[in-house]
Amino acid sequence: MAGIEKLVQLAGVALFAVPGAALVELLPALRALPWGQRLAYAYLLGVAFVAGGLYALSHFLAVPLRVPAILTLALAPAGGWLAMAARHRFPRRADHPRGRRWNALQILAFGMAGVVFLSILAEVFINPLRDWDGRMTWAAQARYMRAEGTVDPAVLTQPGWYLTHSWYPALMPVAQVAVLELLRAGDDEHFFRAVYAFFFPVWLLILYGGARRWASRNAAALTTLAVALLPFPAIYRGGGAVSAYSDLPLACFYGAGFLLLLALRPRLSAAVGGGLLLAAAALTKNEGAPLALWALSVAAFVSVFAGVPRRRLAGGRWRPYMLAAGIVLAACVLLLSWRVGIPDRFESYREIISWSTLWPGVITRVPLLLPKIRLQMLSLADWGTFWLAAFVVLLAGWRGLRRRVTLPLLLAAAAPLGIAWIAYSVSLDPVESVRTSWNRFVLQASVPLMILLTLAVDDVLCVLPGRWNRDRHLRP
Amino acid sequence: MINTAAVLSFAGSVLRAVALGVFALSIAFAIPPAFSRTIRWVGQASAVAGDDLATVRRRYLGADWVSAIDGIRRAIPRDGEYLLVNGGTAWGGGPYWVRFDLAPRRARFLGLWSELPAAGTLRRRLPQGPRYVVIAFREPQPPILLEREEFLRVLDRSHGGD
Repeated sequence: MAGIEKLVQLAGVALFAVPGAALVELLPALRALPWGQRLAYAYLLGVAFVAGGLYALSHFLAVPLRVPAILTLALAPAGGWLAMAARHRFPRRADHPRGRRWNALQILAFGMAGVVFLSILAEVFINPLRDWDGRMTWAAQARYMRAEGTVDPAVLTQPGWYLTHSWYPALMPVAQVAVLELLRAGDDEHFFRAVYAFFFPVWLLILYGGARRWASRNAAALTTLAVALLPFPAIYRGGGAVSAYSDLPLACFYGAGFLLLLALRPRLSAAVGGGLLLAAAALTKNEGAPLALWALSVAAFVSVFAGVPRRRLAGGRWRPYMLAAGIVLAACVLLLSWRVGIPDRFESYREIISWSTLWPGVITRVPLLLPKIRLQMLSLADWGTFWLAAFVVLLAGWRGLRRRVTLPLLLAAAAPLGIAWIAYSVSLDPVESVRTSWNRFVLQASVPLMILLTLAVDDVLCVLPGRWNRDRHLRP
Repeated sequence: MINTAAVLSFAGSVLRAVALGVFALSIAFAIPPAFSRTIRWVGQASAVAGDDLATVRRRYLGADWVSAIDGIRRAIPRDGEYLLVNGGTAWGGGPYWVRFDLAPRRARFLGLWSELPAAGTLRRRLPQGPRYVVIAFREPQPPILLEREEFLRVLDRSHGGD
């Protein structure tokens, strides 16, 4: 692997981005988004569709995880798109609303995001994987799956083999297998690293696009700039884009899926997109399934009960959520069915948790754990001075949070942190659990959390002269 | 007479201005490290971009580690299996990294070296099949490959022949 050959990893990224782009074109609600948003959703949908499809095909139909299946799945959406295009079903590109030119703050935000992303690419293109969970769990799982060409390798389905957290959902390991198989990589060629790296710009784009729905572009750009500069999501080996942890992908799937469904009247195509992304969340990490179901429930609750006459509850209002729920439940069925075949499925947790401590641990551990959490949040190496500044902004800009969208965003942001708290309540070593996982739970909550922050930033920005607030729009 | 509404409005504006200043400062402080890191990392990457895989592995894992792993890979076939012992500390991570580098070879974990029973007892408990035992240590100390009987002899000696 020398020189330019290292860029071969980009082909692995294209394996997901290309089918994802076709899927975006097939879904009218996504096709109407600005191009940056479409790119981000394309990547996420591509990973969800290709890796999720391979997961299901391998488990239910014993289709080998080899190039023919990988390429067939990757090309299927493009085929569908071509077939639809041939029937002239799409609006011409000129029908897309033209975006305004970027202002200085947007240029600074996107430029700095690009600079940070460049450092991530420099790391993943050149160096082998050197993280903890990536090598302990995710990439190890992928190697066994790739060797046997199945998501049910003997090391999982036979008891007694040494594999940590063998029952963790395997969407990202399957994505690794797809890339490594396509590129015919050797055991020591970690070509899957770029796939994780690209979740970083995708995360920022989803965050920016979500923020723009309810805040001015200056507020969205300022928050995105601050978030792009955070060390933890970008360069931290214990969960950032340079690692092979599944937390950043989960943050993207969960946040993006939730945002697609968070509308008073989501279109069916948005429901399909949201359902696919939340299904991917369920297949990405343990906490993904409860998070996906929670996101669905919150979005449906908002749509069905927020300002809508009760007599209109019947009829088609439920339909998008039923559709999205169907996709998520299908993913849950796949996950459960896959886990049934793993005899040692909960072995690793028996040594580190005890449900008997849940009560009253959920209350009595507050004084013990809050200082540890504060320590994590104020770590200069992980977050800089971001959370301190964010706290001040939330305090000063609280009026910006008096909107209808605040409650669902708050509920969505609270879910990963709530799961974290339950985990710490049953952990036999809660202090160590906080040290190793709190920042990652914050990352999982980051999309709705940062949009909430943007609302406060938007309010704070009103002290500036008029031209900075020209496009402020107080949507509900 | 004090106009309470005007005072509150002024205080709110001041608080917002302060908050905006704090937020902007937080961003300003974060920009230089991000820039310098990118320059450093891109520079390092371009300096070693032409290195082949073996050189990259040796640089990051250490020549001893790479040599040990390659030796074990030659001894145990890809579809083979081995017994794994943690010769380091419980949370040192050694067995994880060895397992990762040796995958897809399958491992049966025997536990911490210091907690293993006497060789005679362990001999009766050892799973049938694997011919080799790999002892993992904390990085960068390379793993050791032993044949089953040799491992039991070493264990016997280390436990004082009890």
